[in-house]
Amino acid sequence: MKKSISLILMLVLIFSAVLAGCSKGNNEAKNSDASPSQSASATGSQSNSQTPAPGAEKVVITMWNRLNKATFDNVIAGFQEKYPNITVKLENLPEGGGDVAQYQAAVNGNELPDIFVRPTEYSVAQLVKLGRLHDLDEVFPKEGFGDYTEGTFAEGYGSIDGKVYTFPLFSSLHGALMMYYNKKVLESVGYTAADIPKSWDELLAFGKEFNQKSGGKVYALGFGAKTNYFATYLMNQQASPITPEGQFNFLTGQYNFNTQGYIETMQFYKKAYDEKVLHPATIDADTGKAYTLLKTGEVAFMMGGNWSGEYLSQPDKDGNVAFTTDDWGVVPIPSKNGGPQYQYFEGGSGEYLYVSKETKHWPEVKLFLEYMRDNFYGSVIETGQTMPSKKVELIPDAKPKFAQYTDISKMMVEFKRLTPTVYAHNPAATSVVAQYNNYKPKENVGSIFLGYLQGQLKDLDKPLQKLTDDSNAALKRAIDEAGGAVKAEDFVFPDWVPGENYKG
Amino acid sequence: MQTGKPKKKLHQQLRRKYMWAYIFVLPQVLYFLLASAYPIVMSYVYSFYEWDGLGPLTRFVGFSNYNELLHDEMFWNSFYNAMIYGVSATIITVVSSFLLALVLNDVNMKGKTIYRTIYFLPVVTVSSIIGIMFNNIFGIQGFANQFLQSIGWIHEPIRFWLDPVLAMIMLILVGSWKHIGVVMIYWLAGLQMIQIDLYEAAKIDGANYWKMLMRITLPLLKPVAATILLLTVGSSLHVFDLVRTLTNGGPYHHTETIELFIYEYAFATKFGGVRVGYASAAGVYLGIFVLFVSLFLGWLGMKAGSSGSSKIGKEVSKS
Repeated sequence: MKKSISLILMLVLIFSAVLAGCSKGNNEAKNSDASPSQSASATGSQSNSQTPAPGAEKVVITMWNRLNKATFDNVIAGFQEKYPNITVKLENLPEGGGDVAQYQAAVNGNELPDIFVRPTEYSVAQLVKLGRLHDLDEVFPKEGFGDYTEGTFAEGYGSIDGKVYTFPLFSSLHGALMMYYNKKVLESVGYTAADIPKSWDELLAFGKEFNQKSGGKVYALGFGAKTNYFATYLMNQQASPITPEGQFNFLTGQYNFNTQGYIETMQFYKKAYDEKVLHPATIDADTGKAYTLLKTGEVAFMMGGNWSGEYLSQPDKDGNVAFTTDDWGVVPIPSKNGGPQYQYFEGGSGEYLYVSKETKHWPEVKLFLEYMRDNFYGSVIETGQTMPSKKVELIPDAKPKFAQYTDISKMMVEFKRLTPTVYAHNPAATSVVAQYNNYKPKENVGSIFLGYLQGQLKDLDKPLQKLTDDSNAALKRAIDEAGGAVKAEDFVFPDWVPGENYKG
Repeated sequence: MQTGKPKKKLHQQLRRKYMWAYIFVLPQVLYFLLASAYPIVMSYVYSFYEWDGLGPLTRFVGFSNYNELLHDEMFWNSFYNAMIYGVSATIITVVSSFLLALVLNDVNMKGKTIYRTIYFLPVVTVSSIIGIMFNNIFGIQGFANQFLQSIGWIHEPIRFWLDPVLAMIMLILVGSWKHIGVVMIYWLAGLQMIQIDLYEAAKIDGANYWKMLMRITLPLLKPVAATILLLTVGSSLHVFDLVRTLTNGGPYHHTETIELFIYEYAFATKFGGVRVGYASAAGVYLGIFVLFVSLFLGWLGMKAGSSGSSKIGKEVSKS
């Protein structure tokens, strides 16, 4: 008798363990079978056109966000108020690259949430080819494309084979870097906004004097050098006035990182560090730490992105706003000679959402996306995070929460240059670009810059040349593996003028 | 006379015992097959493909990944770093835990249980938490630098994580500290297996502490030492979570171990996409290396086991 009971208990334990291991946890909808509409068909586009009426069965749609935590709060709150039967369960993923492994597991296991911010390591073409994405033609019909900034739904970016797969959030001008300053820190040492340096020489002179006047306690400048994407953006933007061709020369169709632009930029910041213009913690700091340095008055200036104004304006966890919008200002980052600087972009949008093809609540997701389409872009302006994908002139009622937004938007327009896109020459290049992404070196200008700043690299020529050679080898390998469908000439644009918006 | 029934009953009882044994072992066997054996086999398979982890395996490349690895500077850099860490952490862990065990095994030692608990605490703490904690404590603006500057010992912060040598030393020290507790327990178990009679007899013969240590303790601990060495080397060659959170391979790849190298290729990172095949080939190389090291240490252990007991036998017969 005892043995039989033990055997039964053992089998129950094993069975429970197997059940727990096999269960899927992503979609928490309790009433998926009771939903009035069916899930997506094989093409991912057909769906029942009925929309749930208020008071219908409760539905939960899941959403992953790797952007600023507050990005979707307002629009979700408004949507849930209007449709109380639909809950949008938002999960904020770790920022600064910590989301990558989570996305990879979800893409591989086909366990994506209903809606998710684009994973940085997978292109829309890759995800469509894998059958992971639901098309959004019903949400963005072609006649509405004109409401959005140019190139938002371009083939290869927002659309694949003529079908829309992305919900654009931010303008493609998103990602510009600028310099934020702490007004009180400047004033404490006797400076005003008029004294803010505009060139590298001015910054060095200002920084040394500033550090001396503050008794060595406060430094001129800080930024998150350890955050790789930020360091890369900074190098690209600061190198542009010196070497306008940038890292990828569309005239030759080749990468080149061993340029005067990158070398001089890295040498300048190393000098700034050695001469105590740069805060010593910079070489050990991420972007989060950089905000702290500015807010606590340890630095006068902080390099940040166009989104940094929104971060600086957020209250702390107790709800206190110790650092108000009156306490900071924003100006262009000093460039070598005080002139213009820019980063290149290829079109599409700064950030966007996808919908999983496996969503069981397409009508509810569509309802939410339509609500977002009509209400989200205003909140982007109101939070001051960036510029929205929708043309700003079509959102006249939205007012940003801080006055500096006007300057930030202006700089975003000035600091971006449109490049050619290989997809215009050959749509099949999406697979080559995806393969190149896998073959490219596990190094970039941001990591080389950090190594140089930290003193690990004494010479820049060798690592930058290696990066160039390895990148071009990776591109060649990816093109060769395309079996003739894509040629090296597809990456060449003889009519491109470096430093100007591409008009071809 | 009926002779068949008792034999049949015994056979049935034995079968039932075996059945229960298999039932209890079954969950672990299943887990091993699913979580260990299957991934090991599949990693060998993946190593012969160029695969980004998405979709089916289509591009068979033979030994191309293995060949590419042999020419990859970063692979050899990570292998070198893993050896530096492995050897250093093993020496520090084994020696210091032995010394601690000697102290805690002393009959006159008070509060043994408390000390054992204190030394064992790092073992049960999650490695990644330890990494984050120490990374902050020894950062440029961390507690350690602030304290040292406040007492005037230093004027500029020490760049613990930005100097390649210091960063590796810190990694080795933290990694050793994490494992000293468990290795100490192994030593204690070995020490407590040695008969007290041998020490008493040696004392009567006028042996001091040092002679007893060299002539009795160490020789008899040889088999245990070989096992401890094998386990410690194995665990020190597999260090990922601590490296990831403490230094993340920095500064500039100077503490990047081979498991971190594999991770950078097996998972999409800030540097780009995935090459599961390439990462798997690196894993195969690591696995083969660890196998050879384990076989060598196992052989050493067998030799130590036979020589240790024979040496004591000779010592006893001399007296």
